[in-house]
Amino acid sequence: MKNQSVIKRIIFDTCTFLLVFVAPWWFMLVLLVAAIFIFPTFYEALFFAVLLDAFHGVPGVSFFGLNIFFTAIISCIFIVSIFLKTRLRFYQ
Amino acid sequence: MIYLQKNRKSKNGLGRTVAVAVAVIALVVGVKILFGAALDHAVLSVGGPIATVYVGVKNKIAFTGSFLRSRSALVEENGNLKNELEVSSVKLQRFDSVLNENRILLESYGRKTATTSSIFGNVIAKPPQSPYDVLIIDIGTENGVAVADAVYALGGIPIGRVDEVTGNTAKVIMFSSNGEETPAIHERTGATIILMGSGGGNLEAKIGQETNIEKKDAIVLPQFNGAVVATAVEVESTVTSASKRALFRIPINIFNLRYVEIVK
Repeated sequence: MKNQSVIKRIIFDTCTFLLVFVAPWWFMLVLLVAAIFIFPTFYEALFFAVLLDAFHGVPGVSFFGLNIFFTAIISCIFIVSIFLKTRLRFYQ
Repeated sequence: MIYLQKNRKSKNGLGRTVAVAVAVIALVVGVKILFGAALDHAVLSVGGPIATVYVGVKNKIAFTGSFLRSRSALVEENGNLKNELEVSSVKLQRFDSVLNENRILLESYGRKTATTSSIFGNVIAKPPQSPYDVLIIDIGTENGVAVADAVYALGGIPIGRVDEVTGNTAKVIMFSSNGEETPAIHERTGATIILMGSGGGNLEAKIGQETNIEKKDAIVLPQFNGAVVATAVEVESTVTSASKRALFRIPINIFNLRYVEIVK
């Protein structure tokens, strides 16, 4: 059962990796937020956010000189999701 | 008496999870600070070929799908295209005469028309896929593309500059990209304005109340041989303000861009 969920996660990660380069940015944002809530501690979301920033980012748009728009959003949602998961009945 | 709830996570466990998450985020941001440029370059090198393959497959499917379209739709489209071609031919004749006049004028003032070489590139990622009016194209240093090369849409309209380049991929920042500043000239009055990209093919500029800008006025870039880069679509002004806000639009539809020209 655990093996199956690991395989599912690997397949999802591979598909998401390819989608980073071909899918619209808003679709990727929705997909990553959904994945954060569906998979337990989905750290890969941060990795994909970094990829999105590197692929689509421009020097003109930055937080304190850093091009981390997607990384910042996904990081915030990731932290919030940790608290939400302990509060929501769905995860009990 | 205190009863412990069995199904409740311990606070220590939650704290540990948050600590690990914060550490991972700090690590990610640290890597971004230390190796930001190298990381961007590597991702562009890996992502470019993937996007190229995707666009190739998509175009192939679209080409195959066109065989299945109805004959009446094709006849209608053919008629529309013929009409557009006629209008464009007339415009082109006028454009050629103006271009010739421009060349004669430049030569009479001792300035030769610039001879430049250009490279043709396929657009493999464009808005709305990218959020900041960034294009990824399928040519790079192997084809002679270099950072800061000028990028034109087909038809000779300047749209941006090359910002980053790998072996076979290049990232183009358009003039309308968020935060991109471009000094330009208002064609009718000759006033210099600073265009600021605001995304989606739009630009804006803060101009003095005395500058007379009207809708449909052309904005040109002197360094691109006076090519039109944007047209005014709206001018917002209030009596109490010392300046007014002019909104401009790139003359092409950036969402339909398929090819670009890189001029050396």
